Amino acid sequence: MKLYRKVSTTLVMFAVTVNFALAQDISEYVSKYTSENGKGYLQPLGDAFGANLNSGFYHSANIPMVGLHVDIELVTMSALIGDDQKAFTATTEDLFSPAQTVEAPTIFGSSEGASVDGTGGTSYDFPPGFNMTMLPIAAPQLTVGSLFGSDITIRWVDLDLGENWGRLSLTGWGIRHSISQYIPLFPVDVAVGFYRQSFKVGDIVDANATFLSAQASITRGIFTIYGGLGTESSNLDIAYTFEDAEISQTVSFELKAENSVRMTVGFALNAGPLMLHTDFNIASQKVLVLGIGVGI
Amino acid sequence: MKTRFLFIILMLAIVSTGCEKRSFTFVLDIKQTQIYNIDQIGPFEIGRVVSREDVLAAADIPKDARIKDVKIQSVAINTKVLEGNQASKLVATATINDLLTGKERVFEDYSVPLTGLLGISNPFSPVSLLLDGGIDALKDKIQGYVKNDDFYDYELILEGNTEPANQRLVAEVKLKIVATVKYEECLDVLGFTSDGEPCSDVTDETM
Repeated sequence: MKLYRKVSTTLVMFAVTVNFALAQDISEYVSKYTSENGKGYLQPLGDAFGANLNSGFYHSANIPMVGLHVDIELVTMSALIGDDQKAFTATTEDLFSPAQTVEAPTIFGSSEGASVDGTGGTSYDFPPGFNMTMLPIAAPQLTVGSLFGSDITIRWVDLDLGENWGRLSLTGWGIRHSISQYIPLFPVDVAVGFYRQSFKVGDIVDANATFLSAQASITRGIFTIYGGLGTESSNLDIAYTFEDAEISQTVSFELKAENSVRMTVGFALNAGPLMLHTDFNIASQKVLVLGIGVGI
Repeated sequence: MKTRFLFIILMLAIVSTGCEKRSFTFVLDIKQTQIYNIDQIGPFEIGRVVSREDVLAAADIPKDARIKDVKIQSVAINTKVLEGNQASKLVATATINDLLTGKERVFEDYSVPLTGLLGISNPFSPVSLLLDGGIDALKDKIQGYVKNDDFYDYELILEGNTEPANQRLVAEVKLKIVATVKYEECLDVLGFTSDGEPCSDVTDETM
């Protein structure tokens, strides 16, 4: 029974793109922050989460002109957290005297936090971070083709996480079209793709991501080297009700990711129906992708 | 069949190495407000009893949390001038009265202008001249409550007079104390994602 719980917990964790930073009560993390500090604290999460959503969509630019091919995958995307994402400039809040500005940890930053002294023995503690080196998420993915050198990709998850969270849903789609099919004997497969995703957790988390990419690949035997250039945008909106003995107010943060252009380089292995691939995405937010699946 | 086998092997590898308990630190504010209704000519003194239950009700601390530290973040005051008031300024002193350790002043002779519209509360403003002894006493009481080693009430006394003295003072005065509790809690995380400390089995400070 214990093993079953462990397996199911892990599968759910991977399959529904939940990671621990989002799986806990967000208000517990940022309950101290109700204004601009909250945005600074959470902004790296928006950047990393958006970059993750826009990763792992392709591992080849080869799209046959026509014929049935189906790929079912589990794709893990891990945003690598840099030192520049671990601190932000924060200001004391909530009647602390005198007001002071310091470097404080973001949600990915030091677990030690920061503290400043005020008058008469008072102190202000800034919330610590979670000392994270990467933010992994995972999603099941289905790609179906081909018609006129095009295929479609779908990501979809819908789960009830209970009354505290509500429903978790991930809805994503993408469409690709082969460009190299128009260029006879062109040595490299080339395609363009457009992807859109929506990720929601109850009324608390609402994220959207858009990705447009040009992709290229070369296949030799069972090995494929692939890469691409893309432009992307994403936003992560977080809202929660902040309650204490005196007040109840809704606090919300709209986090627009800083990522805009990314380059992808990757390597895939296609051994019969089994597919393994990995790629690295170079942008202001770096992402490492690992995928495993079966294809026919 | 081979694919399914590989998938199972991968998942078992994730299961065996994936989740572990790591300790993380959280910071939580406890906000307590005491209300003093004054209708007086000359010096006044009003006490408000604060119980452990009052403080814990304002603190949403998980049951398995380990308390690391408690600090006083701020003491703030606001006023609401009521009908009949003739005073333009209040000079107030706040004192914590603990049955075990005695009285300590939190602030002394602090001037508060009695401005604003009749019946409308002014915003809270921080008391800038706080006294170490009173702040330490407040901190010790709240720390004792959240660590479960102090079960006795304390009294927060507000006293003072008007300036000039002996005018009729009709007002509602609020004292707001914000304390910060820093605590550790163990969470299940993917071990490779975080440098958080592995959880120890220390229980002596567990709530």
